[in-house]
Amino acid sequence: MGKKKRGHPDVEELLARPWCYYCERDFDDLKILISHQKAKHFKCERCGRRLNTAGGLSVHMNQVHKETLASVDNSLPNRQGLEVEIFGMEGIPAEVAQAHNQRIIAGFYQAEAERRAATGNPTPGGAANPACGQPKKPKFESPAELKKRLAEHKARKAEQAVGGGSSGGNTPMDNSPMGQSPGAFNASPFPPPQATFGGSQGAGYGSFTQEPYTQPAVAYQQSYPQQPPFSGPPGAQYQPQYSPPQQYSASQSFPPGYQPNQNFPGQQFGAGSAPSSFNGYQGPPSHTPPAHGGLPNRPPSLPPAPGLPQRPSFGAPAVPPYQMQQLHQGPPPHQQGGWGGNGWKGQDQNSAMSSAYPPHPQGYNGDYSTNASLVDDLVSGAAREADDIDEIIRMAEAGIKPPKKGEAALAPAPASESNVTSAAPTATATPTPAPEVVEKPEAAEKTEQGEKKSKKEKPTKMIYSDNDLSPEEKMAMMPRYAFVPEGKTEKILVDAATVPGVAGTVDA
Amino acid sequence: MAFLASPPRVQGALSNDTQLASPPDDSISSLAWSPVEDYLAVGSWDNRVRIYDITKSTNGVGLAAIDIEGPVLSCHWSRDGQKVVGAGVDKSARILDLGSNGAPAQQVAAHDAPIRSVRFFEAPNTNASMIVTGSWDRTVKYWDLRSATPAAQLSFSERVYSLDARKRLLVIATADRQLHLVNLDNWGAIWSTRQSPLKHQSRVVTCFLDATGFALGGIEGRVSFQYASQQDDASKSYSFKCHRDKEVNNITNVWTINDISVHPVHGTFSTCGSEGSFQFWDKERKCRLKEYRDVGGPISATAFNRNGTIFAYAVSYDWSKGYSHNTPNLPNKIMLHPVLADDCKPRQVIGRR
Repeated sequence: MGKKKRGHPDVEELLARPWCYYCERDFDDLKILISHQKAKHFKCERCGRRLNTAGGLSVHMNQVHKETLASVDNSLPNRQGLEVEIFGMEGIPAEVAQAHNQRIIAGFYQAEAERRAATGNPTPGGAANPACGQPKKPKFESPAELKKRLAEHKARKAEQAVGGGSSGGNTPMDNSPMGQSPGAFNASPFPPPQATFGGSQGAGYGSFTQEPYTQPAVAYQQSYPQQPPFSGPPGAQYQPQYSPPQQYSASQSFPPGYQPNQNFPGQQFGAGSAPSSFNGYQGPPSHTPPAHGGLPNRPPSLPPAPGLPQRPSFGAPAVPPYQMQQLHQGPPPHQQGGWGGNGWKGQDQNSAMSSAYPPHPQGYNGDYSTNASLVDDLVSGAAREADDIDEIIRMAEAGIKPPKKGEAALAPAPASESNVTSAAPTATATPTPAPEVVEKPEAAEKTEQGEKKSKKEKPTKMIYSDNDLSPEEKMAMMPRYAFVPEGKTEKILVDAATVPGVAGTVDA
Repeated sequence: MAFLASPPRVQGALSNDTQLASPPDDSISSLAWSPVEDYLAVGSWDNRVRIYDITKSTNGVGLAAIDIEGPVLSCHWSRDGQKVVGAGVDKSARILDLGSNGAPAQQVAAHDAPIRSVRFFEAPNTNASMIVTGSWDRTVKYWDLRSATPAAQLSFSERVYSLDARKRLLVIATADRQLHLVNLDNWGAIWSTRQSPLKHQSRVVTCFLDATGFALGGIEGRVSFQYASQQDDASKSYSFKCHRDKEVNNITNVWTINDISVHPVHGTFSTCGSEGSFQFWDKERKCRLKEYRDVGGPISATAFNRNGTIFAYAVSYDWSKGYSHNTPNLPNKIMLHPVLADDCKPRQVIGRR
């Protein structure tokens, strides 16, 4: 899911909230709504008795106090009538309910638009709105600091070149902070840009191998001033735009949202991945993390959490090389060194990912929608995977029963595994299906044990528990029902297990 | 899957139910109403499909019968209400043409094992009446009524336990808890197969009124509403528990769901269980509309009549408790329950998405 914002419920939740017909207030819970209605609208003034409905209150007034009730207390002027029978959420006329929902939806989007206008975040559709200005002013680093960062960056690159590439993929980052939360500002220096790229499992980026860019990166930096390398790798992405800011931001304690090139064409920063990419990075300056010396080349990838669906891996949508150039030429020249290197790496990483995403030479918007649909697919694929897990559990449980079912148990399992792999083919890199497959049986076993336990606590007695034969088959096997065509005596199948089984069913 | 916090269980009144006169002599396996008149076909283990005329008297008058050579497991009417098909343990399906004035039923289908389910449907392109039969010999065969060989055949991995056809959707439930969906315009191919969401044996499948999916009932007190398309299935399909007794001494009795019927007007559902209750459900609102308990015995089959005003249910032993519980004292009757307007009407959907 891409849209959820902390503290901001989305439309469905708002629509699902129970609300009071009489006073148009909404509540967390149906029970709260009902007690509200009882206390405010269905309460008798005279004796304080709380009734269940307006009709009930009117009857009570008539019978007990011999008075007539004219309207509902504490209600809006247009909702005072007694004829509509409301209890909780029941009885609300359809038009009123729909009007209410329209109001909620309209209000929600209104508020959302206002919020967006206030903060200046790009809209999820990637709509560029430069007219709204750049409330987030790019914070300038002083040249000295930039140079320092550049030097550190180069040093790290050299180190990496020496250390050799390592396979991108599941290897958890040695830097624990790095590996665990892409959102955290981890101290790991060089790997960050790649790491977060590579930490795709966790951070939602495709997994990258670091090899491609180790040497070239080094070489690249020298040749940065010329832009040709940009055009080389296919399918440039926007990530390079991020990486430089990331690296620098750590040293400068820049807010994660720092984008020095705010005016990039098309605002290619995707809603979903952009912020997280920022957070995942951190500045090269912090060479200090101890683990850095160990395996700088490992991308910090979260080991896929058992039982969890794969995080959708976002790739940067392809940014045409010329845009890359613009990005890199945008900032003041002295920044370009570091940027270039990162940019180059980004591109290279993307080349690793390019198989995952079709290169989109057109604008960002197109890319975003692709990402969105891919995300949707991934999410639903993840949901399917979860369903597959359930199926495996069920099949495993059923497999405990007669061994005949064992085949059936095996058959769906590989089928669901292949489902899983096919459900997330493009976005997850190859290493992921392997741990997934491994995890699913584990998850299946765990859940299965959990289910067994819960079943033991609540024993259910199935009246008809035979899973292999339907009741009709049992009946049909009985001699008086068996079909014996004329002319030949048909052997009535008396399954040796069935006859005692029939009695056994009762005992079970 | 939990239901909405709905008002307390609404028990329905059974006092107005009338009993069918001269019911079959043995357990009733299936009920089917004619789509054009209030005629009820009753298939029973006494080797007969009896057709009753309910139009004149609510106790029914016997109209016609199909005799087959073994217990009848399934019966159905053709769209025009002229033909009734019955099929069963004698591995054949026979058709009685009501317009034929007393001619005996003709055999139109043959399998290698008892036929569990039979349905009429319209052939693609021609809209001619055809029948589809599902059998314990693991095949489903399509028959046009004229020839002795099937028009097409589908093979499965396991015995067919139930099938239903509506519009262009054919759903088949097999013994290995698989569900197969077939598009009747391309009947030779299985359009999709999925695993049953129920953990135990599937017992009955019934298509939705609009054929966008089907309801599946099992032996484990659980029913699932499944949508046919993958997209809908992922988001809208759900299962729920029903026909389970309240916990007594820490033990909950779980009964089988013997039949699921669709209200032809409202699209709401009825389920019946071997504990002797039938319940009406609203699939969209995910709630139970009404519950009728303790009809006197296990309910083995149900059916709504063509305009949803009469709900017929058969009370007879369904073998859920095994051989030893089949006593001569068990009731064996068909009851007709008048469906009040509000009983089976879907609840108003309250502005929830």
